[in-house]
Amino acid sequence: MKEYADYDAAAMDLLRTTRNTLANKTGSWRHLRPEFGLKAAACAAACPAGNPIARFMSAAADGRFEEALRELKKENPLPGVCGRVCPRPCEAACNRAEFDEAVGTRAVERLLGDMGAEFGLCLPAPAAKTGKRAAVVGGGPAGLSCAYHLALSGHDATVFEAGGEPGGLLRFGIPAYRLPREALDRELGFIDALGINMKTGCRADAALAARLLDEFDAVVAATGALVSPGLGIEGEGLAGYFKGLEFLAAANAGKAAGIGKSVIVIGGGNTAVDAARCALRLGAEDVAVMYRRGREDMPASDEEVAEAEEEGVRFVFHAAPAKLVGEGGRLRGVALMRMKPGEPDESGRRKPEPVAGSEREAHADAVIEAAGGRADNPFGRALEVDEWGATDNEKLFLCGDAAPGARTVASAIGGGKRAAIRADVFLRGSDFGALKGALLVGGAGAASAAAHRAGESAPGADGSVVRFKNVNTAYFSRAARAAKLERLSPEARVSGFEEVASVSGVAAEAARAEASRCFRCGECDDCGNCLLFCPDMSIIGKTAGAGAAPGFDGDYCKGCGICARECPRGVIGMIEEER
Amino acid sequence: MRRARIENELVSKGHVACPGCGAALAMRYALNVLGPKTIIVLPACCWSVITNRHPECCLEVPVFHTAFETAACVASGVRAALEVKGDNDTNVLAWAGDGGTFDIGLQALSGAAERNDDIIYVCYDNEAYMNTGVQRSSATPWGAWTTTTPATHFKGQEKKNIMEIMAAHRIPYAATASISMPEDLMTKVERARVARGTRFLHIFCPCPTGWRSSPDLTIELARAAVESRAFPLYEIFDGAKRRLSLDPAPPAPVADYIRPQGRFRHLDSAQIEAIQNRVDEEWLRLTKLIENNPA
Repeated sequence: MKEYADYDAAAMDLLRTTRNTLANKTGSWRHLRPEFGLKAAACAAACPAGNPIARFMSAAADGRFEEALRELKKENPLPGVCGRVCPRPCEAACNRAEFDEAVGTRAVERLLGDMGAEFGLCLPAPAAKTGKRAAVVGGGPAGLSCAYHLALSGHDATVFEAGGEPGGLLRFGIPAYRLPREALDRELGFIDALGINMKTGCRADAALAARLLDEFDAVVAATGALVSPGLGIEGEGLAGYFKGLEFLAAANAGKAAGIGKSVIVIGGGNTAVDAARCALRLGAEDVAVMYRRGREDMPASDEEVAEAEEEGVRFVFHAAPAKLVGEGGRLRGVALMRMKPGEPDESGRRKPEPVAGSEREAHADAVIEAAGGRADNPFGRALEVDEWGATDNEKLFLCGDAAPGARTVASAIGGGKRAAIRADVFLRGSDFGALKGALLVGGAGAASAAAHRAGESAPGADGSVVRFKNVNTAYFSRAARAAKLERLSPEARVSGFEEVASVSGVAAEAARAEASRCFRCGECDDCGNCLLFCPDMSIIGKTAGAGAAPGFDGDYCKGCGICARECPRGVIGMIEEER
Repeated sequence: MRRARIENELVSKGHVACPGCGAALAMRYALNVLGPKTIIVLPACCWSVITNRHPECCLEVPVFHTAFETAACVASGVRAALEVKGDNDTNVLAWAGDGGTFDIGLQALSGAAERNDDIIYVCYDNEAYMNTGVQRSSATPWGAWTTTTPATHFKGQEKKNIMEIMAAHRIPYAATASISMPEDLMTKVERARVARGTRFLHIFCPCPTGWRSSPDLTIELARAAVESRAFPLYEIFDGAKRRLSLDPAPPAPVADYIRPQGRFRHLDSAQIEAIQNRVDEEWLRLTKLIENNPA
């Protein structure tokens, strides 16, 4: 009998294949191709400070809090501040809101910021010294952010601050019950750590401005918008009439007294609400905020308004002061007009118009005007400024409230960062035109200083922003918000300036649980879905760490799009193949 | 969550499956578990095309191409030859489509199962004769368009219940699996690998070409079939004891599964409702069976 080995394939009349299919380049079938690259999450594109939200959430969800804080500090020196006072545009844009509830991003930012007490400042390593000197005029959030990023870019930064301590509006404008001073001071430690020269008590006038332009290689004006226009009505000379920011500065310095029992605040922004709440804490019994438009038009954050109402602040809408009424130089009350909404103005809101014959007098021991300040810049009032803070003078830059734009702490931080990047490009003599297209998160959001320093593109700089439709919700399960704010009782709040809100529970647990809810849109976390679900074995796995994305093998990828569809977080898109 | 990784990549690139092919994925997952010491018996089916033209073959294990109706009996023969050689640890894998299983190869499969021949038989089910031009099979579901059941005369019969046919043979292991759940699928292949006798796996594989669905939806449709209970995942041990792998509660509406597919486009909402009712009835029947015969 023949042994098995004697039967060769030919003898058995079998056709045998001789090779695999690697010579068969099925990539030629493709008309779409996957496009891998870190995209901007909707939240990050909406964050005026350019916080790398998906990135720090990835680290925090794994309990790597120090790394998370480091990621945050690459863009924002003050997470503990923003984590308290920001009106949360990120949460309004959060893709998870369409799934169950927006991620509590601000709470996580706050918890991470406060972990600085444990982990230290967690600053990025500064670039090599350039020997260039930059002056920043104004030590508020914009100026400090600008000086921070200038120092990280290797420049020698000097801040000129009018007040006795750095912080600007964060210190004199935001009361301690919203932003405790220790939270602010801890994060301001970067000033010393980065060797930023801080000149306090140094109010900039035209002479200093001229000298700085002469002596420094670049000058950034971050002088704020602190000039109160006043109400422009009769009676502003009466005792008992206060300007909002001055009143807040005195209250926050513990120097305000004699506010009286009944207080009327005129205005509808956060300054008005802060002034009203400070008045309550200083012993006023009846505090009313009067606003000439309706609640829906109020610029103040809903959260602040709700807290103020809980504390007993009354809000009166469609009311404007006609004149202040006094007796013997002392304020007695205010003559109010009822207002009705008229035609829409340039802001799109309906312009309030007085109702004839509606005047009535309301009693008040004090009236606080909080109508919003305007900029008065020692470098010139009517400077032309572009979105990067550049002016006609190539070495002068503008940021914060001194420049046009939104007036929040986060936008000041983002504006300071833009001016720092723009000034850095100027100081290095680089071509900004070639760079600027790659610097904005999501193509239109805040600038990424980390990308600028690394010579990379910001996430989604080409305009690719991950929206809810790009998220594959099959990979997420519904979960209620884990990091919740709890607030002191209204009675306890008004008895002092103790911080009103805190995140309930153990910080690490809350931060981790809340970060775990984050979809981490646009951020590859190496889940392996694309590798596992590719029918053509054409995904090249992610090899580097955070910030990297997989690639694909163009020789074989047929462009089916499964990888893009099954990516939980929208890292992969499909684009038309160019042939 | 980190997904399973494919350690044994035994399907080589350059195969000629259509873009978004579910069957290609099923093979990747199965071979990852079975490893290189596997002989595949391949009757006429999509996969006999996917391997590519002679003299190429994308599978990095021995493959025996054979006639449509013969997958199970050829596998039995390969096992017998291995036994003669004293080889007891090579896996013999018959890999057939729904046509070669539900219809044409059913007799050979029944014979092998009745003898309890020591083979793994996988039916990758894309619910019609796809590579020959989308002709109906007895695995095509009610309501579907195929080229032999055009929209005006869509298929009027229910899909054959192959799992209960196999259970009636009292084989040691039978399971359903979906390419949308590779970890579960590979666990079942491993259970099949370590068992002896005839082992049967019914793997649900969407087919963008024949289902007239977008190729990127392959996994999504496979998942929707599971989550709507249209394709329940369960195991049958020794033809008797049953275990549900996943209870999608609450189930997604079956319309989520039906609507994205062009092969169901002609159905009106009352007809989709009829499919929903049928799915609900089948689920009830299955869960009762499992309740009465738990593994």
